[in-house]
Amino acid sequence: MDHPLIRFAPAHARLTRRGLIARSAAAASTAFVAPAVIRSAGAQDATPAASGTLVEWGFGTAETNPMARSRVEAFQKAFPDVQLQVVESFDEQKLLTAAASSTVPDAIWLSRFETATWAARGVLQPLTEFVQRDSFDTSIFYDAAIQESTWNGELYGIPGGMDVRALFFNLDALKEAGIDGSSLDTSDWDALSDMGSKLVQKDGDVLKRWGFDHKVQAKNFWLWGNGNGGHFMNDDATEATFNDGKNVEALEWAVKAYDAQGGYQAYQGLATTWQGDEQFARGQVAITLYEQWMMSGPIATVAPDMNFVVLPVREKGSGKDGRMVSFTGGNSWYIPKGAKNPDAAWEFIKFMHSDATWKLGAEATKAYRKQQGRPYIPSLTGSKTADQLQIDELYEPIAGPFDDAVKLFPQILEQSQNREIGKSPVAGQLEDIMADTGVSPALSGESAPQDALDQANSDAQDAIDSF
Amino acid sequence: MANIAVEERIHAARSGRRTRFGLSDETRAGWLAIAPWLVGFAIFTAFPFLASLYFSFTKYDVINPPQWIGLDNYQRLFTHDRLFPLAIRNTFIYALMYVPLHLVASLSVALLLNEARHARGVFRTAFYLPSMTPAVATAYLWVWMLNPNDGLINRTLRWLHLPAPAWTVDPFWTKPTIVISQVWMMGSAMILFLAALQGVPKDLYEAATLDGAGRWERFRSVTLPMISGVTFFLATVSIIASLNVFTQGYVMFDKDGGPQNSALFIVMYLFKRAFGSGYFQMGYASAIAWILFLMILVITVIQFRLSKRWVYYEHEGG
Repeated sequence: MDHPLIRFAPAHARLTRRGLIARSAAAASTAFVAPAVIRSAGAQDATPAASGTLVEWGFGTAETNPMARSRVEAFQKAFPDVQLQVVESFDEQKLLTAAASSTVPDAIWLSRFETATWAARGVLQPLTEFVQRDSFDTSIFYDAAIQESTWNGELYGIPGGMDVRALFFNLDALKEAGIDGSSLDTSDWDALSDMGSKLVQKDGDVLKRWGFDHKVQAKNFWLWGNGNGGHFMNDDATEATFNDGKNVEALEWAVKAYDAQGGYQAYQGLATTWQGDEQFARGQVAITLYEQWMMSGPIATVAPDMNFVVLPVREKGSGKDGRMVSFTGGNSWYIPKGAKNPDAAWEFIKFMHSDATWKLGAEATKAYRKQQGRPYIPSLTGSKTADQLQIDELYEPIAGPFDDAVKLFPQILEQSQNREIGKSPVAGQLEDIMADTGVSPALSGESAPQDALDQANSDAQDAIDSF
Repeated sequence: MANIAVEERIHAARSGRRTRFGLSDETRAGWLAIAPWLVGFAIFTAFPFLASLYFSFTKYDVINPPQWIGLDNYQRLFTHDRLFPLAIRNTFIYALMYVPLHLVASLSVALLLNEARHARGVFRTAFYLPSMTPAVATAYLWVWMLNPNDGLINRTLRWLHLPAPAWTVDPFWTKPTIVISQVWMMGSAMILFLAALQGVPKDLYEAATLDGAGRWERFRSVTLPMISGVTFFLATVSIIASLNVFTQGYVMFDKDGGPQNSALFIVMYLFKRAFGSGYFQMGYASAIAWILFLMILVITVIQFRLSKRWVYYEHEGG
């Protein structure tokens, strides 16, 4: 029999009674004690009582995601008058047709990068009114997350998760190659490039390990451009500056870094054999830029004893204590225009963001991971207080590299930026243009970095102007 | 009673009696019988078809009402868009490689099977199986087989001391990569060729042999003309299918156009413009669809015209 209160759309994800019993112990126990406490914490002031049907799209509540699942269950217990329907996944086409036919859900869980894309087309409603009415404290969120949820001066989304990029070094590989891993300076980009060429490993003609993966080809060029002092757009997102001299310099560096290791084609050949984001954990790349979740996922699962270190990228030439450079992504909650039950949606969003709810989710995650024999590593929530709470109250030291990185990620987030192009309603197009017309032709040697970025800039401006 | 009514209707139909709408009962019954299909066609095919023609002259993001912009989309496609001509070029190169190879490969296998004396059923099933495999699974299979670094094909080539192409990452090899994976799925064409080969009258071969024709002469002068109808059919549908190529490229190159957009095909580009995040350019995508439609139409008409010169249908006499 289905859970009486939660209806999950995909049949495979239905929560059965047996599933409920088998669920992790902590999720079960905490779910019974916490809702009342959380409700008082989540609903800060007297707000209209939420009731009726609440349709949410995009929030994965599979058993493998206790952080989400336990919080959704807690919401239902705290708001028994709300019938929550969670549709776990949706895509752009579905949202597009829903918006066109006025059948939108009440809340959506969407990439913040798409805030301007959907807001500018009139699909999202501003949340400013709700925030003011309930004196909802947005200062608990990282600036980058709030900025990315804002378009045209209006707040459209409430951040509910973050990712951040940093450099992962395989210290054993470095040692083998005679590189001192104790005093790495990530503001010395040429040194990173040199290390890359020393760390490449081949078996005859077959490439076995890539040295340094800056991942500019995987839509990370924004980070390196910014880290070199470059910008990609003006403040009001009307003018593309892809071919800013600093960006050209950064791309030239990126091309040289790959060429020194055997070239982009060789890289692609190897990269197509990588699976499940496990290339670093499996020793197929020695230094890589990556999102923080590589640690809680592949490393903790595949190589928990790995000797590694995580360091922030620093502004080029700024020294060992120079400015940390990263960009963040992640999802926020939004309420589409025309939602039938926006009040319930807002209550849901608020509830999901209280520290008590996050704690509940983190406890469920910790118990689940314990059951799986894996260590608990805090999630990045988008909320500074919730991130700190997880580190202070729940995290148990695992080993040096993990402990240091867990403390490092919130620090990087404090200084992180967003992709500047996210402010544009054609952000997705601009991202494609940079990848296909700017970065890829330069890496493959088809065009010089300057020419490639000139062309990309012209295409980007065209896309901006024709919106 | 009922029988009388039916007989009256049959009589009325035979005598051509007309109802007040000017239709005989029989005609009306016919229309009624095909009405579900007609309604479905009108709603799900004819209307979207015409609507897309209208949208191709508009700026339309689905969410907001379309704005009429005349021929702007078409003009932009041909004068401003760098990727569209590339997508057309890629698609035609792909079609030129795929169609002949597909026909030759499937005919060759059919000829071999036609000659086979033993285990013909087993071989027929074995050659047909790939076309039962879902396109996405096939695409992944070939991505692995043709992996430049460590794929089975390149391992074998290296073992034989032959050059190992960078199949999926070298722009020169991306289209052949897709062609290979598609030709592998020749099962349906092979079955049609096999059926056609088995339909060639034996006495024609006997007569040709008596006239002193060798194996090649028999193939050229008897087999090929006798299966030309099927060949024409297969050529036509494979050209249409190859100009609509989408799934293989989309899956093999991770929804993108592959290295240097060398595997960006017309339909992939259309899909990106219509549904890609931050695009939603339905008007523009509709214009692409119409250009593709017109290209296919022209090519098919030419094919039909040319077919009169080389396709032989037995019932037409000869």
